[in-house]
Amino acid sequence: MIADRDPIVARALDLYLPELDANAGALFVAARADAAGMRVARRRRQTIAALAFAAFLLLAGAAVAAQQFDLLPFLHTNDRNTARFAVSPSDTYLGAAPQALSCANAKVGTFVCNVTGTMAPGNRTYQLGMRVDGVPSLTRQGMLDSLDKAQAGGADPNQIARVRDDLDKVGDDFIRALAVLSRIETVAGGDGSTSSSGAERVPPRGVPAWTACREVTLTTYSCRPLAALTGVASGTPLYFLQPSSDWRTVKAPRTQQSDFMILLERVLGRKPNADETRFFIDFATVTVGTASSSSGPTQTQTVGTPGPRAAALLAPQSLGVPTRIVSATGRPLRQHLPGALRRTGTRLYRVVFDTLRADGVDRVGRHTIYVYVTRSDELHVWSVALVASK
Amino acid sequence: MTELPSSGLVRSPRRREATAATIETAYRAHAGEFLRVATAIAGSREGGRDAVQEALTRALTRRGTFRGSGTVEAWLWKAVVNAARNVRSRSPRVAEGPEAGTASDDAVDEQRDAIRAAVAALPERQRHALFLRYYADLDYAAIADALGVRRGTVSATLSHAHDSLRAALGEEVLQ
Repeated sequence: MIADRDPIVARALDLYLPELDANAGALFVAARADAAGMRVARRRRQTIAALAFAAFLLLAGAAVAAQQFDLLPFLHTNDRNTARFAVSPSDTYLGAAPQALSCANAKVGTFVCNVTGTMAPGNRTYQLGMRVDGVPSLTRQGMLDSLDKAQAGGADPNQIARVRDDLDKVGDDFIRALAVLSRIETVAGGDGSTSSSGAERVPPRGVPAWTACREVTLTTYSCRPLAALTGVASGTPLYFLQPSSDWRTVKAPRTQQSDFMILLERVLGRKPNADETRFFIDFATVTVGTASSSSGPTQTQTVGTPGPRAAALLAPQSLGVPTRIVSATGRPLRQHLPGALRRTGTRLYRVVFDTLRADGVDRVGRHTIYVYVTRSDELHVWSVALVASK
Repeated sequence: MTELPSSGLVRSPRRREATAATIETAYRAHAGEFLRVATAIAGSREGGRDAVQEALTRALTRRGTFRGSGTVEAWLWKAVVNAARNVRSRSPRVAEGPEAGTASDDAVDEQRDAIRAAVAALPERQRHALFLRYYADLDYAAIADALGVRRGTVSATLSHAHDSLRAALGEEVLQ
């Protein structure tokens, strides 16, 4: 026979682990958000499987069928301060986005953050970087419509005709690959202190540099690490971690060679041919006007593109020398914007590129520029507004 | 051998299925106990929180697997114990016993160290049965459900655990 509760054992166990404050609400909110994410992911996997199978039946291009909908392999980066993610073509987030969030338990998986008020010791602070932009619908018909719009907006009719001809020459698999690529975004954070020796400061292991958050209550947000996240709704606020004393110094990863072209080749399953390369450049650079925004150190030409990143990718072309893009990563807007730029409808990208031939001003080799792009509400396109060297 | 009364365990009406609302109600009624047991099994506060969150997530996503043969609460206990065991197995280097709470004097620290060593020396099943009995106030049947053992096994396991702890600690440690 044993006693109901042995007093000595009870006392020992109370000393072993005193009662805990459960914060029941926060744990349940986080679990519910996790569960919702899992259900969405499961549904998406099922949809993807069906789409991929249909594509396999319809298309001869097996490589495209197998890869075009599975974005995860393209979303991993080896830079702890960078997050690459995929935007949902259909979901939109319309909730609030406070300027800063305080997170007690920032980690892998879903966690709960609060609108900052009084900072609790040990909490991580995340600053609003940007909201996710909508994904343009890239279809053959959509591109033809864009060309009509560009022509109505004053674009050169001869150039439009040439792009139409080029569009006829590229296959549907290439257009689908572009549509997939248009959903992938990359953002970079960190404390910006990459040293000349190639070291950089990164958050502690397991603490995400970037998070995507959703409003749960007026003061509570459910957040997930942004790196390799798929199906991020347009409008979702993205937050980047504020540096703290426990950040570590690590060797900065080598910049990957031309990640844009690597991604294009991997999604396409082969190298783009000459017609496709020409079409992409032509379509992206349909001129909708000439530069009036020359307040930066570099004179730029105004070009219209369906997405902000595409506009940033084209900025090096304004140098007038052959270039090869290495990367274009979104950055949080700075507190003070140069020129007459307004925060609404403006995005900042850090573009790394190689110049392949010297022009007397720029040396051959690697360069980094910061590109501000803005959206034209009338023409529904993004264009380069300003290029700065830092 | 005396069967313990069904103390502490809220016997909600049996349901055919678990809904998000019933899971939330069952969880909130004993949130502190869930976290305390999970923390004790996982070996750290962080691990305990992870385990409870993981268990709730699994319960919410797999509520269709609830067969309605017991209470939602008992089903949750099983999920929490399993999740905490998983957390523990993923963190093999975690110190034996959860970290101490606030700073305290040397005597209390010594006492805690002795208790920690005694609890750590118990076989896993005995430890877990003690946590469920003392931190969650579960009866034998509920402990048996949560640990996946027979009811009679719980009785014997707790009896051995009591004997071992009393022998290891003695009156002087707990003065």
